[in-house]
Amino acid sequence: TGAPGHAKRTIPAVSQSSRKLHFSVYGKNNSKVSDGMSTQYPVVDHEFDAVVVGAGGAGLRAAFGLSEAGFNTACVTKLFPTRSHTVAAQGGINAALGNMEGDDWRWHFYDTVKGSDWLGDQDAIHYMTEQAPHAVVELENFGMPFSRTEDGKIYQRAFGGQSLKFGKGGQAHRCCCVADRTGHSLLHTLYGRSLRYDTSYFVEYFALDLLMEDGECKGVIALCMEDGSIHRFRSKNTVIATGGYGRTYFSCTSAHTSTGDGNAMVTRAGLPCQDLEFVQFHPTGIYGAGCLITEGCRGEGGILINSEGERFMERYAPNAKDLASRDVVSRSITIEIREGRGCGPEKDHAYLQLHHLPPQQLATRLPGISETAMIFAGVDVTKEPIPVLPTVHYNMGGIPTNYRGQVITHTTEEGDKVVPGLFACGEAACASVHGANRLGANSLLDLVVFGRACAHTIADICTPGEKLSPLKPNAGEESVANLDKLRFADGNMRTSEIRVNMQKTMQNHAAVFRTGKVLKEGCDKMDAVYQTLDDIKTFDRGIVWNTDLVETLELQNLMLNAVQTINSAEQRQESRGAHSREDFKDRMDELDYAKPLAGQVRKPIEEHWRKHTLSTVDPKTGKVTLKYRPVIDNSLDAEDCAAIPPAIRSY
Amino acid sequence: MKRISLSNTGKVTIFSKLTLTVKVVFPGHLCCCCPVFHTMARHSKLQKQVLSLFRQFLRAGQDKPGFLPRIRDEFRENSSIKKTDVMHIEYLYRRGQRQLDQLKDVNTKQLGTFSKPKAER
Repeated sequence: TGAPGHAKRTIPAVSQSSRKLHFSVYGKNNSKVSDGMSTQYPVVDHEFDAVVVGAGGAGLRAAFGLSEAGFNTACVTKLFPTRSHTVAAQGGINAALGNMEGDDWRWHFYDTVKGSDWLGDQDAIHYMTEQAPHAVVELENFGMPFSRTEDGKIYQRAFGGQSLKFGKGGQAHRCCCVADRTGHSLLHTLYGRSLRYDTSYFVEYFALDLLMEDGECKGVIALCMEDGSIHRFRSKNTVIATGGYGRTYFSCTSAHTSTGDGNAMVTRAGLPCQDLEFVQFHPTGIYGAGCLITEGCRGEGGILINSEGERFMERYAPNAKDLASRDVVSRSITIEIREGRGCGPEKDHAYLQLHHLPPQQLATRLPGISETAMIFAGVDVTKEPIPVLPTVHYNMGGIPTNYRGQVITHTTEEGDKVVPGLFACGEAACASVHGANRLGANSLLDLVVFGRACAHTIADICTPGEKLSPLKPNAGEESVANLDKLRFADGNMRTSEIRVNMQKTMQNHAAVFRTGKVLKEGCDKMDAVYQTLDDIKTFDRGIVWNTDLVETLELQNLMLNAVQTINSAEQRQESRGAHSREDFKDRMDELDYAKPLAGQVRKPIEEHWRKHTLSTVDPKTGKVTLKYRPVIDNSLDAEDCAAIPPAIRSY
Repeated sequence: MKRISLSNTGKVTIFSKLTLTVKVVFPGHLCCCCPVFHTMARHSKLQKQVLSLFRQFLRAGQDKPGFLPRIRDEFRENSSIKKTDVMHIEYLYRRGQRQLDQLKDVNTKQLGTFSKPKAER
């Protein structure tokens, strides 16, 4: 056996397995299995130094960072790079450049730690906020067309949760923006830059699973949508940058392609996901359509009003008002609606008023949302207010990593342990810089900083051209077996029906305000919906451009994310950041920070909730197991930037 | 040495080892719709392109295990497409060119197959 002649690193020719599929090098031993009697899935094997899954902001930055460092890199993406969801980001990137007023990255650090409700890992936040000015200048050097001030410096606008002098100096202006289409501009700039390097792009390849062996990640297996072939990308380093999973909810600002593929791949590999219960509801999504109206509107002076025409945020956040943190604003809008002061015929939304601002300012700084409001709400922003409602927007949780981008698992005895060969960045990862709640304009920063961090870490640990460790010849067999099963599925329920059931369950049971009883009911309903996956029916039996099959694979991924989200939310009995429980209204930390600390006894980790949730799922049954991991409270350099001890969070 | 021989069923043997099924009209063949003898028709431009692609594939797939049998199987399977179905042929040709670029890439190593007997389902 073995390949003829030249190939030195090939996988052995034939391997039998106890499962239904068997792997062989094409052409050898095929005489036993004649064409008419079998379904064959050709598998092309590739070998690279690094593979990046996902080509959004984080994926592109990691891919060309690796190519720049000399690594032979592949970028596997199910969408063309400029169609990734990063393109829809509107707001901006936070960086303490100090163009509008004096600024310091340590104040940005404080704001982010406070915004995360002290669930963020302070070493990762230190890393991100310190690198922020450098990252923005690098983007500007790549050619990103930032909005400018009169003297040609990058224009920075006010954004939610940003303050000066550790919260005592008033509103900070630190969000660098490109009108209101910063994400579009960022993604196109990164894409243009990435063409200078020799990364191999595999566009419209749907990543199915990780190739794991002995707890080490050895690559990715993907389906080429164009011709239906399977591809195995073997490499020593795999970076996951697949984005979030907004589509588990019925109403969200995310694209239809935000299906949490990376989180699901990691779950199926037996690794935990972190903090999935923290789902951010953006305060201003258009009522009905769900399209996003950026926080930048409020940064430019827009205000939220209720049916009585009152600027109600003054009551909920006296200092920051409309620029309080997003979870605070979302909760305020929901409370106003619940108390009967909602707008519209059904009194079920609020209004965002912009017509008091000068029209030239709206035209220069907010042109995109002016058009969005006209198309999706039929509203002329210079005359009428926009109807808005809190809508699912971002997932703070994801694949747990350390501040260098390496994926970690956790045991109580050994603490955090790195999974060799696996990295994650972007919305798919949980570093955790956003903790329980993300501040606006920190996500685009997260993408570029941690995309670059993954590339640097890989460059530190490995050298280009290293020999790959051997891999089982039939690696990825379960993924192909699953694909085959779904392709010929002949149950009773359509993919779209199961998906809508899941989305409605999540929307009704795990929304802005959560109650124990409603969450428990939601967990049971979600479990029932998960079981209906066995009864799924697909219609397209082909293999070329089978979108029915791809949507079904995406549904499997969404379901894994949804069950973890709702079970983690049901277990967490406190209110922190974006997770607010009506039956447990307070934050439960190791000390009660509302009272003087002297004389208090520190609670052990089992008795308080200032800890990360680590959730795993058994894919066959849908059963979720939860563990917990402590928050990292020390910054990278205590002298340069002191860690912030927890305090009460008010705006 | 090149040898070209024509048989009744339309098989063209170009090299001594490879057989390619190509639609060729033979000298002295009586066409069913008109009582005229056709002279031997040359390959059309599209046919030449397909043959050229086939040769390039064979050359590229020489050193990488598993590709040659697959290339032959694919071309054989698609040879039954009618000569007039130009859209389909051109689509497959374009797809084949992309696949050829990928095959030539130094990082592509081998072709395997996961197979499953149909009876089991």
